[in-house]
Amino acid sequence: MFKNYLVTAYKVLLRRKFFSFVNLFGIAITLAVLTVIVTMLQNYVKPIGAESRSPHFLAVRNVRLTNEERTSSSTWNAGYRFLERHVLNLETPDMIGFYSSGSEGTVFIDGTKLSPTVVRTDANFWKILDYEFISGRPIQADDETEGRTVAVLNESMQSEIFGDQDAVGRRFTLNGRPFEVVGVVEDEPEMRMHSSGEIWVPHSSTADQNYRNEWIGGFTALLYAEDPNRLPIIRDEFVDGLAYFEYDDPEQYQRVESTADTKFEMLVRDFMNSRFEEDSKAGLFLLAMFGAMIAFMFLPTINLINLNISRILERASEIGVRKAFGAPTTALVAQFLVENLVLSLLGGVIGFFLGVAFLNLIEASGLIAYANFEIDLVVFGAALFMMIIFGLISGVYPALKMARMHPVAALRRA
Amino acid sequence: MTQSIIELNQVSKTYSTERIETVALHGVDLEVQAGEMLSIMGPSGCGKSTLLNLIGLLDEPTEGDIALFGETIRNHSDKRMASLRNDAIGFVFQSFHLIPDLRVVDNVEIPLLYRNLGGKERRKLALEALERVGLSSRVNHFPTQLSGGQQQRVAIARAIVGRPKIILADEPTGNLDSHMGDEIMQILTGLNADIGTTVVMVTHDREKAERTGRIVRIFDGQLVH
Repeated sequence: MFKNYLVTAYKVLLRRKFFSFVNLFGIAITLAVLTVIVTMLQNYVKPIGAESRSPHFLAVRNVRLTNEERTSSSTWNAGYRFLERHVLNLETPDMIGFYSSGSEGTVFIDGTKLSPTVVRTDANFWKILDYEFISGRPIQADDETEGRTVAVLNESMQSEIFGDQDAVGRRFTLNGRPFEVVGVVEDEPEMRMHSSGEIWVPHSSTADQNYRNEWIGGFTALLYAEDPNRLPIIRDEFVDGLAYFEYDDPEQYQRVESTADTKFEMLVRDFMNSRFEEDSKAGLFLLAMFGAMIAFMFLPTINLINLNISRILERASEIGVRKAFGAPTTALVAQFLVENLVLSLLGGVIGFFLGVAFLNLIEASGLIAYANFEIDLVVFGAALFMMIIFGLISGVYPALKMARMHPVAALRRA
Repeated sequence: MTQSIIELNQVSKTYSTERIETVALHGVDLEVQAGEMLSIMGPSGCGKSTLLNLIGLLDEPTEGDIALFGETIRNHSDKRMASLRNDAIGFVFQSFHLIPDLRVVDNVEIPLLYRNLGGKERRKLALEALERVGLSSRVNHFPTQLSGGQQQRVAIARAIVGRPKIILADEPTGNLDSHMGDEIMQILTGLNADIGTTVVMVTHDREKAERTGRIVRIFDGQLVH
């Protein structure tokens, strides 16, 4: 019986090739776009690569200083002084590390200028993140305290500066100052919000030490807990501490605002413009995403419903015959649903591979540096689920309408 | 006394639209005995096909009762009606109504799909039915690759594959030339004579009608005696 459904589904697909093509195209493109979006978001947020321990830490990045009336303010990432006063002295985290946002450095190789992304870190940063070392070691506590000019490179930067040779122990000039390479790590995609970069140096290795006095600077702190269940306690301690804010010039700023967030919350805050609100609006964000996906899937669904209904007339004779020879309504509904599911799944499979191809294209294009998308089973499962929902939604109504057709009317119309 | 296999008692059928009511059949009484072969004759639009559709449970009467095998059909569920049609009745239509996407043998198998039969059993029965109508050599063809007469033979194979007690044929030779029409008539009379299938046939053609045991005439929705 089921085999017969499949055969008919296949035949119906071939009967009107153009319609089938339009249908498949609509489904495939929709699912391809959804797959790309979901995969990109997921790769942003999920704990992979050097960020594999991300469920264990919160990040403090954005800081806003204001006066009581909020008429004047200063906003950016955390400065070193803010870290000293409100972050590094927290008692609940098991470890606290920090790093600066990437800045463009200058390296000359044989007269050619390179502009690598340089990140300044402390030593704990390397314990919280989990870089894959190809050779050498991370930046350590004495590098940090003594402000040594040492650097960790990523693999691509090593080969750009040193060619095929192991760079550990060798020197190069960064921003006009000599640095010694102490370690080389695997490339991290640019979209990893904490671990991306090309050259890492101790935060204290800069010639100018004025950053230590800045409240607003370029730093992000990571608050690590062995037990992820303790992250809310850490967040509370951090937020409570903000009440004891005292600016160097008390006349200028009286209040400080900041948040300690998971990766997902950080992403949401950027999207939802909720940077300093207590609620990151993650729930609303998820709801909006879900709504957008449904809306996005709605169009091809309507299209499919419409095409399916227009096929009723075309297949009136078949419906009449099947009914006359004893097909109950349920069997006909099942048949039409199978036909639709076949179409949707086929469109889905094409869409999935289109999505994969598109992601590969993004990787190859260098649009996102060191991009390396992993499509995991969750995405595949979600896509499969979407396809099935898609098939059912677009199939049920036409199937009922078709199956309820009166046999005499169906036969007469043919 | 032979058992009456089909029994219509004061059956009327009215088609209503918002503006007009059309009476297709009015107060029809009809009994068909098991193993009988009869023709229903009458001018176009007199209600012949309506009568056949009512007997075939494709339509329901506005008034009156229909009984098949002594069982009065009333308020039956969709499923029960479908199962009755599947078991008891085989249809042959004027315009064949074969499914163009399916091969001959798959078309013939359709009634068996709605029974609890395995694929091999279905195939075996379909091939037997095709042999009976002399189309064993065309099982893997598609309907459009066959002549009109051959297509109607496929339709007859489909009608008999489930071994129904009753075959209802709505102008089965209407779209065929006289030679092909004769072939079809031979198959139908053969079925009636050999295995005692009850055949009710609607036709315009007096000569064909005379080859059946009884002729029933309809005029303006009423039986003419």
